[in-house]
Amino acid sequence: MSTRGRLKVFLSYAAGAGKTYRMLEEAQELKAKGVDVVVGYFEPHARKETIAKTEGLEFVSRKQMEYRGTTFEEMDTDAILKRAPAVCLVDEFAHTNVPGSERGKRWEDVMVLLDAGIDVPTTMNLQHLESLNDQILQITGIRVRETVPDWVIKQADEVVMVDVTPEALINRLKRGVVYAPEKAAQALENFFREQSLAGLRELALRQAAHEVEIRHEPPRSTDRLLIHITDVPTTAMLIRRGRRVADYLRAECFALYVSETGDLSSMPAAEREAIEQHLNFARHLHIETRILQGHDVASVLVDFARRERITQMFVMRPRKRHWSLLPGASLVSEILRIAQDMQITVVADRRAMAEGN
Amino acid sequence: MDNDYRRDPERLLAEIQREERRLKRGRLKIFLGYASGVGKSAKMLDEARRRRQRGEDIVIGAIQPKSTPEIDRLLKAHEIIPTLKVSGREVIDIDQILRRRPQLVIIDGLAYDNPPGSRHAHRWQEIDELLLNNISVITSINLQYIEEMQEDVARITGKRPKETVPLAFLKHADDIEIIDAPAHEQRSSQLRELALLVAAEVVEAELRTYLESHGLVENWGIQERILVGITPRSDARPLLESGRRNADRFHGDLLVAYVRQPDLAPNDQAALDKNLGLARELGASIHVLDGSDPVRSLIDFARQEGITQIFIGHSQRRGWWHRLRGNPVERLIALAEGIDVRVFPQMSGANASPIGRSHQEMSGANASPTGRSHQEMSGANASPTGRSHQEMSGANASPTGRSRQEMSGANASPTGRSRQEMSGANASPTGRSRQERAAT
Repeated sequence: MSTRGRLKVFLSYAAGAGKTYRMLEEAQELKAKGVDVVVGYFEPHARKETIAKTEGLEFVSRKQMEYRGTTFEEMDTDAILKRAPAVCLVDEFAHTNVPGSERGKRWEDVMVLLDAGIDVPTTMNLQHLESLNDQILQITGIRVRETVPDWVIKQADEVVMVDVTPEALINRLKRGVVYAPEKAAQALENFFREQSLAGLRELALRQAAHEVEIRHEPPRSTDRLLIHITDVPTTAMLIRRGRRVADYLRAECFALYVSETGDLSSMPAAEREAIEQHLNFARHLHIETRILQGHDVASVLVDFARRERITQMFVMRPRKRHWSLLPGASLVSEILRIAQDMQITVVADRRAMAEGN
Repeated sequence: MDNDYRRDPERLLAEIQREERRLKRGRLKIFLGYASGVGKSAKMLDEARRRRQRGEDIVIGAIQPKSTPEIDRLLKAHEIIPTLKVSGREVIDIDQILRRRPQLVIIDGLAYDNPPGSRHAHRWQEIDELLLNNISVITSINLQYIEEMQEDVARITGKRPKETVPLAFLKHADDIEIIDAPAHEQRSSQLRELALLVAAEVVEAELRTYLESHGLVENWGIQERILVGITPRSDARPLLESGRRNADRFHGDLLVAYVRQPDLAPNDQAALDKNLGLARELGASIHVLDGSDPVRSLIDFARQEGITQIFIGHSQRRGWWHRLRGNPVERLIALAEGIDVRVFPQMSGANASPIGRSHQEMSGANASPTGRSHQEMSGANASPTGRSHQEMSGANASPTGRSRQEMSGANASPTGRSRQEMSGANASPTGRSRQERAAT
């Protein structure tokens, strides 16, 4: 039985940074050394220098997929498995497959290739990392929909930062190297604002440093985090933040929903759906979820935390009006009152920070 | 973004002057790596090739002593002004470059010292002279040669290079680009991580300059900045240690703030000094704030400093008064819009003792009275509680029992928030006698 393939992620912070170029350069070097390398998926974006780098490389044909009367091309995972190369290049790791595909996400296809013992170099921009979703929104004003859970990136054997200065990126964009003119003009107004690019770049460098660190430092942590799940929409943010802190502290991470009846089916549909969505989202990020029954939410949370030796509890900051009306009556107040022996982290929506200024 | 733009004439003038200086000065770009062989030279020469194709006048002012066939091939396309050998050292021919006046000179290798008696002791100073003469420079450096990284580098590699470049020189570069590549052993992996963090720091400095010069008010909290709020009697050690650990984990900053209280009793002053001493030991930057409303002072300071997380101790006062007004911790949370608040236990050990009873405590090796915070965020908001304690503090281990009544109504502390950085123990706030106040 072959061993699992190695995953290498070329990480950057914007289109046009040169990730694909760098990946192809390495493929050419491998090929020159006699390694059996193929291109499983390549997104040319009509960039001349990049296309030139594919010269002489073998391509596995893509699969044609019909969806609502349009033909889409996706990576043909089965064909690659059949071809069984040593190395398969896969561009755009975070891509969402067209409905009807065997797997929802391209990274899931990559997992299949790795399982078959094929090494995969791939490309990804930082903004697709799930735990950074809120921060990316804050910096760029854009809610990125295609995301990859952090644990998937943690499985990569290597994460390599492909760096470029914002100025060079903007120049490339203006020269029409990255996008067609209309799209370029639009991009310059949001994602490609100079300060947004600098912010994304700093975030990418820090992420890359973190990825390097966790690969050379053995985990040593006794931290255990608990995230409180509710139906409030900001819960998704709370989950991301908790996950991120847990990753940085190398802590175990739990999520708990306290149901008054112990039975989700008796709840109003909207509320139930929100709860289920948040619990699923937590599981998707590899957070262990629990549902407990009890009328007194604060004491159920605190009891669970004590029993499970939780070291830090994550709760959402109540919305302002709740505070001004009835201080002392909110869940946070109650938790603070009964859990003086615990660390409680009250997480704020950081988007409010700029507005608060 | 434009609505954030403040049309402040002075700012505009400063910006124009900066722009003028920038136009007269050459541009500096630095390629940063963590080891030789990661591809800095090739990347630099490749950039030179592309710029040449776009019509820039480029010369090579220095190359690395060790070369590869690929580098030799890339070099062939360029005009080279060879380095001079002076007292056995490679020295760039600065006069020749100045006479030749290219638009851009490539200097592969920034961390070189010149022989004694040279016009400049260091190569980076020569580069500065070229920049002043409106010649742009692209150069390269490895992390090991950054002056400020010497401690870390020595810890990791056991070696200390003789020739170094100050980090400020990198921070003043117009562009920095990191050349990242996988590391195959623990040591180089640690250097690689540091190089990425140095690059992040330089980018952060650039971002701040950009935002300031454009009058933009944005704080994205990319770098975690942790503020630990302490009081004379808070059990500060766990907060400070956790603050340090979290700041390290996130590669962020650690700040400690104390809101000055007037007329501290000698033992409170001693406890405070101890806490501040620990903060200093842990490498936090320490700030003493003034203000009649400590919660407000802390929040204002946090905003001003772009803090992302505030660490404070649980407040232990409650009762009817707090039901009405909310305790200081809750008030802080309510005001901390956009900032996380992490609340820490104030008891050593797992069990919180009930308030309003006398209890005995022993603190560990440290001599600071741990285990309680009586006057968490006192000031406008503290409630009247009467209690007596007996406590034993570590080092001198002599139990000092005393009973204390504390309360502070809307008490008169100095108003007008001014920030003061504390340097060393002598800068600690004065005021040594504690005054008990009756609630209004």
